[in-house]
Amino acid sequence: MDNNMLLEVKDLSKAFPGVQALDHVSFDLKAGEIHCLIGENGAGKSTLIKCLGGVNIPEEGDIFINGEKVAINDPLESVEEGIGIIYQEFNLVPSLSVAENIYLAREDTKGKGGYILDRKTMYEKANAILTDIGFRNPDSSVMMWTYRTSQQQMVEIGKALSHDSKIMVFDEPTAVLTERETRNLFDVIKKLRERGIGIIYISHRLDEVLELADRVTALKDGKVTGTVVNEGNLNKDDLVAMMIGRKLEAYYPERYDTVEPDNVVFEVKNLTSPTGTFKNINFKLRKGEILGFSGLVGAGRTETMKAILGEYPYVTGEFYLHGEQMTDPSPYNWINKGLAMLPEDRKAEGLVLGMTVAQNISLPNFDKFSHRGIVDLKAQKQFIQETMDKMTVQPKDPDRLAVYFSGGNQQKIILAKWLAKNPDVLILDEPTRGIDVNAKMEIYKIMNDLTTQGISIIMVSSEMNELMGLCDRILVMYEGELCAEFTRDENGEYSEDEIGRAQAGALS
Amino acid sequence: MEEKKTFKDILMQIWHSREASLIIVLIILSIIMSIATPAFTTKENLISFIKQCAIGCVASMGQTFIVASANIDLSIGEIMNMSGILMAMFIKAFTVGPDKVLLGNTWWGALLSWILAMIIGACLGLLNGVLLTKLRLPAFIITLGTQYIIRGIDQVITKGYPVTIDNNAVIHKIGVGGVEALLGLPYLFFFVPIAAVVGWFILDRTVLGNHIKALGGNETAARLSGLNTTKLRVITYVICGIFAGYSAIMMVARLNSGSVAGAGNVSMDAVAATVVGGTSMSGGNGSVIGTLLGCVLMQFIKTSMVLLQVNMYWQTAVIGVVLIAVCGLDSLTQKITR
Repeated sequence: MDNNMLLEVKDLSKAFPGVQALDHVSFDLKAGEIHCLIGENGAGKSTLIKCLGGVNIPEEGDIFINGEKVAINDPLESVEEGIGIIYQEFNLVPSLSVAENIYLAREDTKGKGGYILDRKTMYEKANAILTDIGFRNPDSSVMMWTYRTSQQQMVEIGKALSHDSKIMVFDEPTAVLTERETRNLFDVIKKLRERGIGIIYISHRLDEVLELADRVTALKDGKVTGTVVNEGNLNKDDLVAMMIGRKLEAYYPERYDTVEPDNVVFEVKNLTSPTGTFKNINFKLRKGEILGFSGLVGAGRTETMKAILGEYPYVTGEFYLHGEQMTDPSPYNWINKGLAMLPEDRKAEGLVLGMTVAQNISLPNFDKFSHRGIVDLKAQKQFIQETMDKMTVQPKDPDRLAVYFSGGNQQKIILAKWLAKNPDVLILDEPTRGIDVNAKMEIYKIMNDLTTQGISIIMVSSEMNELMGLCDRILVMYEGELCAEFTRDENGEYSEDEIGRAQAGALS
Repeated sequence: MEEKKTFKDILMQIWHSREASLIIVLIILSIIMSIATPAFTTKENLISFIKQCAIGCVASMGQTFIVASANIDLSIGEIMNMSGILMAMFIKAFTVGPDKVLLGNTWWGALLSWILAMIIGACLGLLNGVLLTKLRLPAFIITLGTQYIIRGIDQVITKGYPVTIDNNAVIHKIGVGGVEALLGLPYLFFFVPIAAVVGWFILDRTVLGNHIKALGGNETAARLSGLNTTKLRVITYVICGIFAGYSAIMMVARLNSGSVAGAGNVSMDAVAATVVGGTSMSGGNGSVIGTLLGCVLMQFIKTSMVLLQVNMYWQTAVIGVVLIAVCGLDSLTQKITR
């Protein structure tokens, strides 16, 4: 046992249905060190953090703090062990004051018994903490909701400091910050390091990792692929190599040659959001093509797709399907013209979980088996059977509630629902997120086959491998803009490094 | 740095404070009414206004606590009725007649029965809270259920008849007396500021109040910060029950009886008053004073319509219009400023 370590994690394992999120992960952290965690989405970074935070309980493995074994069974115990986690989603109460948020559950009181709030003391103490981390003239008596995102983050940091945290974890803290706010945050983080606080920093942005890290650990499919010391000798390619871990696997189907280069099916012109979430998006989709959208979390890919669907505000933008302009985009209008989307969050947006498969598939398809509003139950049954056969949904039970199916089969149910409408264009947002390898392979095969029927597909994915394995073209978004387009080279391969650099905004 | 407030800043502050806006609206309406009809400025009108308004005001304060914690209580009216019925039975049992004084016929007796009513209210609130947190069902369903249960039990107890108190001088005084009370105001009036001050103090000035608002504003954050959210929810319902029990004596005094239907539609009226008073249905904030003003505004409009001899059947509809107008205005202006 190395007693110099502030935090040591040994052989931590955690499985979720269908996914081994952590597979014997070991990790350590010294006092006064910034240790960066990198890896693609689903690599297990968040699960590791949640195990430290007492949100997830590991099935195997031990956590040591200052050489002593600890059990973290709920969030409170994590706080008591001196771990402060700044999650991507802040845990703040918008309608309480800033100071009341920092001291929630540990309020200062006056009078006997500790019942009456002493707001004045809380404001003073909170102001001092905020000043300490670089706030100028803070006023902690104002309501939390009046603070900007970056300020809310500072309050979270202040809250962790007020707990006397020795270990602080930042989960993608800059995803919500502007450039200048990021600089500010870095100053704060470096200051915390000087004070001997151990910092775990998670980011997709490799520039940031190179600037901050004393050490870097990469995760891939729940396993550690390596830990390196950063003495200014690392570069992005090293990090990308660690993240990708192994070669492209053979589980991508041989891509059929279905693209009709001159036949543009769908076109987006000049799409811009009012807040700059996406700017000036222009692209064309050809018949039989699989077009990949790559980029980091927060790059604006999902929002772009939602805007196309009419579910996200935009100020300028034109959409053309078969050369015909869609002036009033909405899911309803699009599906009638031949464009369907599988949303990123299939549970919240793709399925009605409390209804059966049959009901889910029927939803947009009632016209196929009803007459003047009266459903022909026999025809409906037959239609459901055929549709489920085509997609090989398992188990093949139309009366089973959607919630009881595995992620892969849920995805197939959604696909089945839309394919029955005979769309020409499919938008798939993270179609394989959180589903196991076999189900992924099935989805890939289905996508490949669909293009032979003349269907064109837009695929948004954070997994670079699957985009490279499947797509005919890859567009990369960075901070709301399309920054690069990649096609296969003469060997039929993509340049991983180039795409990785484009994602991180590091294309020269 | 002290910045000097301009007139515009002050206006904006009033606009953003629901309490201030409601007071201004009430002042303007009062001016209009006193010009429109001389009946408005009479003492009789003031006294009858207070009598009609006071009970709802107190009952709504309990709902404010519940709504601030992002929940709802549909059983307030039934809690009031049960507390009122049992209280009336208690008073009756200890009252002999106007001249022969027994415990029930004294101020001490009234106080004792009042405390009894609040204990009954607290117990019924406890029942709501425990069912809610143990069964993990929405508050809407739980309190809808307990509402029927309590009403049913009331019917069994009373066999459908009101429990009347005929010859209790003290209760009669509280309910009907006007001029003989303090400052020429009816006794019922004085129940309201006491409840308001207590309610305001708990919700605004204590750790408990802050935790209730945290629970309503972001339950996850509250739990992750180490609050016992289960206990807090139960406490909120107990508080609401106590306010219902508190108002039960006012109701019994005014109706001279406790009955199955005495409180009427008070649960939903309380939600309306709470929301008009500036407490958000999604929880996180809560203003007892705002709720009080909300109640006053709604009764004010009802009374004004009576004085202006508008068809009385329109009163109910107007309450709905006021509710939607106030909240709609709020929602629209928020959209613009954000």
